[in-house]
Amino acid sequence: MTDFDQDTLTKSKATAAAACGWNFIVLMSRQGKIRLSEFFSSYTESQKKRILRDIAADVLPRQAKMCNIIEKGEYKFVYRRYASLYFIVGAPVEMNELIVLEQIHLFVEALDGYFNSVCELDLVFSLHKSLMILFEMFIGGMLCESNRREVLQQIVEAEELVEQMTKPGEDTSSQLDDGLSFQEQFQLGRKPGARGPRGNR
Amino acid sequence: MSGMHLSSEFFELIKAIGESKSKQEEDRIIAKEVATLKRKLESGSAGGGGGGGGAGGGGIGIGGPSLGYIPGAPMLPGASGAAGGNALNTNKKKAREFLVRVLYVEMLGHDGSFGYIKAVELAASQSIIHKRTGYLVCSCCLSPEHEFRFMLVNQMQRDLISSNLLECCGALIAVTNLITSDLVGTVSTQVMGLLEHTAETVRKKAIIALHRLHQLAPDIVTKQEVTEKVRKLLCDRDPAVMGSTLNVIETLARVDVQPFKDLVPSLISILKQICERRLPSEYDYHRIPAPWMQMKIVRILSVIGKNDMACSEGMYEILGECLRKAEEAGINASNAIVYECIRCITNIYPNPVLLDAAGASISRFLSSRVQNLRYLGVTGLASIVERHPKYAADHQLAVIECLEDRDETLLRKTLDLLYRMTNPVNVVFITDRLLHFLRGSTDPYLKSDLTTKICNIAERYAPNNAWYVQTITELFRIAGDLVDPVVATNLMSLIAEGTGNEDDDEEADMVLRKQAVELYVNLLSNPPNRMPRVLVETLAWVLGEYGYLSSVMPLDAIIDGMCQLLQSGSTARLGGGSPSTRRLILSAIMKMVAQYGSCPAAAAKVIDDYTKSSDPDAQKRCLEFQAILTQSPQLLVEVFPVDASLEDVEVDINLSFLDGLVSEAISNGARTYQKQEDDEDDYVNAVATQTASAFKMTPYEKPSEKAYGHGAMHGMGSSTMGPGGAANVALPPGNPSGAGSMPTVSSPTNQLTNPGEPQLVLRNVANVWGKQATPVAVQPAPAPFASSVSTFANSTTAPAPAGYGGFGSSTPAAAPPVAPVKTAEQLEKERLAAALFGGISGAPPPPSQPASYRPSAIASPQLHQTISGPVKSDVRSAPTPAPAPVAPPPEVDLLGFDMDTSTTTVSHTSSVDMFAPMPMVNEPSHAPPVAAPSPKPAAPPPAPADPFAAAGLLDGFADSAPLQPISDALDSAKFEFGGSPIAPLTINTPQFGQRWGQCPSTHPISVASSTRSNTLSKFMELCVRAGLHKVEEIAATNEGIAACMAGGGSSVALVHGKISPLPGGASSRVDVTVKSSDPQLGLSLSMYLQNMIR
Repeated sequence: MTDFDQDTLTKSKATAAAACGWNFIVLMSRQGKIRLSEFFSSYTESQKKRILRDIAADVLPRQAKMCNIIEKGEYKFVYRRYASLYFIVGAPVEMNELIVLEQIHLFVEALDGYFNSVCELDLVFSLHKSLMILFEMFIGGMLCESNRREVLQQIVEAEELVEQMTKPGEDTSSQLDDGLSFQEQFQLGRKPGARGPRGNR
Repeated sequence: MSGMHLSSEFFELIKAIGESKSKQEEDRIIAKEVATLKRKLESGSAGGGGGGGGAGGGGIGIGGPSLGYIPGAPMLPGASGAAGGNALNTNKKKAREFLVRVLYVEMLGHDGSFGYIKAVELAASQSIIHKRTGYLVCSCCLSPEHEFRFMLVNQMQRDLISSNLLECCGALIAVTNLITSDLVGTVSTQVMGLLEHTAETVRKKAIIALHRLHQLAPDIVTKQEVTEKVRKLLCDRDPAVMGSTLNVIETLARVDVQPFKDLVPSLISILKQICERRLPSEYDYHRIPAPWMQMKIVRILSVIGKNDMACSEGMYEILGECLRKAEEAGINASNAIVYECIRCITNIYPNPVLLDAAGASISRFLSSRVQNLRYLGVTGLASIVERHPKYAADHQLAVIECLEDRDETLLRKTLDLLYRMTNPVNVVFITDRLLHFLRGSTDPYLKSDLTTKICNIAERYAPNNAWYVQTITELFRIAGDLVDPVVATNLMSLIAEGTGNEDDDEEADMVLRKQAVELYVNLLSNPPNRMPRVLVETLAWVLGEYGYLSSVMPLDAIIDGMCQLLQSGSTARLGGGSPSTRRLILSAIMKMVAQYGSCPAAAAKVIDDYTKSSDPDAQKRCLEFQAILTQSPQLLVEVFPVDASLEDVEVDINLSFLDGLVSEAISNGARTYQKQEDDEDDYVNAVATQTASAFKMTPYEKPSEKAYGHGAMHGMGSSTMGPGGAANVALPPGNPSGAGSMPTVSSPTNQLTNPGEPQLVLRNVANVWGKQATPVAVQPAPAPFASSVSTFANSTTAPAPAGYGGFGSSTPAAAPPVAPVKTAEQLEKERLAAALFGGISGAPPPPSQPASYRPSAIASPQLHQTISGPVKSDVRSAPTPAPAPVAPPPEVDLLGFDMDTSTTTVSHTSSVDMFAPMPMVNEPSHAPPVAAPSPKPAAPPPAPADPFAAAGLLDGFADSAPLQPISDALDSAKFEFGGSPIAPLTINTPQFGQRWGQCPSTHPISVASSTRSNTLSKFMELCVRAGLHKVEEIAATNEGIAACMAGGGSSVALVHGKISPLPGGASSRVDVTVKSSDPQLGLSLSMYLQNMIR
């Protein structure tokens, strides 16, 4: 995207999140691999790249005891680490850092509820599911549903509907479907117990 | 492709990426993956789209462009239903995996656009999970300007009104992510309708979607509509809907709080209910009742209660309760609420009890072992301390502890706190700390932030000037690149002006200057390895101006030091070693040589070296300086006056010192100057082109600056070219008939041209300016240059002896008439040309035109000689008026060009020798733009001269001094006098002051203004709109001055305005004084302004 596009962009995705919601969320593994990223406000490609670079440079090396906030001018990173995975949220400066931390945790709880004790690989393989949960909870970066049960119900309902709505001839196979059956992953060579790259460390 | 579940390919991909060791490796893997995915898609379009896809519109494949805008989108479902062909088409799950893989590719920063079409297709799927995957991928990947969004709109419209609420939700999420401002109208009705939906999960999404639509297109979804809906949904029976509505209220209230003021009681009652656990326990988070909503409400209250005592008072009780309950819980989520309450309490109308409670919470945070809480404590303290400094006192130790923390985030917050705590007493300490951290910091954001902060507090609270100078110098040293150049200017004017108390403090000022000089002398004798540009330049200026005050080092040692600095070869020490920095150092050396009275060997060497510099500007300075030094050293003091940086440079805008020449020329039969009819236009043009081209090209097409520059340059391998090139360029098309002199002139010129080497640029120029100009490529034969010039001169002087006799007599050299002669022809040939060059008949500018425009390297010796003639005599015969104008020119002149002429150096070296013996003394007179603008008539009404004068006043140091902007567009709001709009009078403040005293009529007005011009900037804007020129806007005293003229310059009016805010905020009193040379003009302008302000 060129700089020229910037204008159009500002008009489209808007400055919506301004002061009230997240600007972006990035899940990054400890070795700097992006596991999920979603930008709620508009950024150009180069800005996105810079943000990701900054995260890798600023967040990953921080020690556990340091505070979970890094100010970067017009936004700040608020991050939380779960095992080897960092959840990094870009929040506007005025936003309450602690509540962002709790919102991250709320999201993680929801993921945990859905994947039943979530691990990094779950997120990688069902990227779209994680994103759906994210969108169910945060629309345009604003928290719109804080009731975990409600969120999961939405997702599960949708999955159940698949069954009812698929036509006879269509390939429905299993509801574990969308290529995300974990049993099969194991069969395909993933060693049981090795949950994510953490084991490799 | 075998498995029905996770394909092994995908698994291998993830695994490979997980194991990749470098970004490069990852990129390779992804590139391979992209190729695989593309193959899949292609095989799909070949088999499925072409063959099996029987359904309407079949081809789903790659044909993005062919799909274009689909009117009714029947094709999408059709396509998705197509059977046979490839797996992507038949097997939705495969398609879905395909998309997840595309998503993955995109997430890792690669282009997955080839797969978008699949996502669009899937969004139209019957199956909700496929549909949502489709929408999801579109939301994540499609840039808002992507054309596929038009295809999606249709689908969204249908899904929004679907009876299936999951489809609704999917579409709502997609709307929030994908709709752009031009498409708002297509979905706004549907979204609005969904606010009434029976399912709360739809309502809560719809309100956020609606808000997004409002942000995108406020004219379609109006604020009023949104506000109305929001108020209704706030009372929704479902907590989740209320919760998401709070988000929208907060965003809206931050923009305009008024419509929500009356919501305070509702909000308070909601907050109360939440605190009392009346919400379903599902909304609890770690046993805190809906912390998100509590926090949101507190935030909204904070916005509403700001500066509003009545609203604030209603909140005290609930805030206290909320804070207390949250304090009890003591976990993160509750701390978030506590923190929000603190911010609210410090933001709304203060209440002592609550402030104390907030203070207690802050100290709990500060003393916590958890870094995050300490961070919040420092932030909270910073927010409370500005208005209630007493709370800071208890926490000094905690703050100092935070300063010693290794955590940079905490450190930064603490520095911010310190900054806010600064007062005249602790400023020295705090600045010291900030400088200390600045020294150790590498983060660009922190550095620039700290730099700004240090500048601010140093300026606001500096205990004395010496400290200020020292601090800012240190700041320059550490972070010079980040300092606003204005700071350097302020620093220098502080040193030059001192405290500003004119009478009593001269001594103190001298002490300050002395201290500054010693500071910089020390810096010079032990230069750090890296000196930012601003530091070097300030150093050069201070030592150049006041080096003689140094007591720690003799002046000649300082000069030596400067020479070493300049020649050290370390660009890092020279602030990057840009040419302008070098020029400044050279100027400083010259100034000090003038102060010292003789030229130390080192300085002489440096200056000699720089006469061969490739920077034409520096070269010119040095050549001029050498000339002055060798020819008339007594002039040094005049050229470099001591401590005169503040003195106004007087410029004789009427060029009265040329009156003698004029009258002589006229008596010899020259034509008198004809005032142009279209005075005003010419005026603007004159100013506009003044710096661009000394030759007035207005009658023809607008000359391209660049082209001309090149032309001049190439054409003039050596200096002879000046007149020749000028003549040719200026020749109007088909003109030879004009003056009898013309043919003679042009023919020698033509003979001079070297047809073999027409310059590219010149040809262009020729095209622009007419046939005759083609021979412009006067290529002075290298050797015959002197002789050719003489021919030139002879041939040209001959035809026009009458008009230019004056020159001839005062200057034996023949060259100067060259240009004038050409002008004379033009005068006769072309009306406009006559207008442009008219002034020449009375004044000697033509020769100076080339000089003032081109690098000195090019300026011919002949020119110098000729010019020196008249001006020299002027300087000597009339010493009184001369010094002032003479002093600044070298530098003023230097400002003009930044041309880098590598070609010139060669020719130059040869001309240096010839140069030295020339009477260079008056070289400066080329420079002053005063002389440059040719059209300046000798005796016109005073006003028209001003634009040029403005340029002439740039003072020596101000390499960056901006030219006064030329007011451009005529505005309809312009004030009219005598039937024509007034014209802005482009003068600067000193000139304004001068004229202020000269204007006989005064018209003071005093108006109370509510909105139109209650601030200085608005007032100035009004003046500019009325057609005045904004001379200066002095924010510090809330004063502004502006000037204009009417009747083509026959009368001028000066406006001075002062804005004094009236108690109560919004309105101000505006005191305006209009002074004018014409009482009528002054009166009507003052009445006009009075009306406008009111």
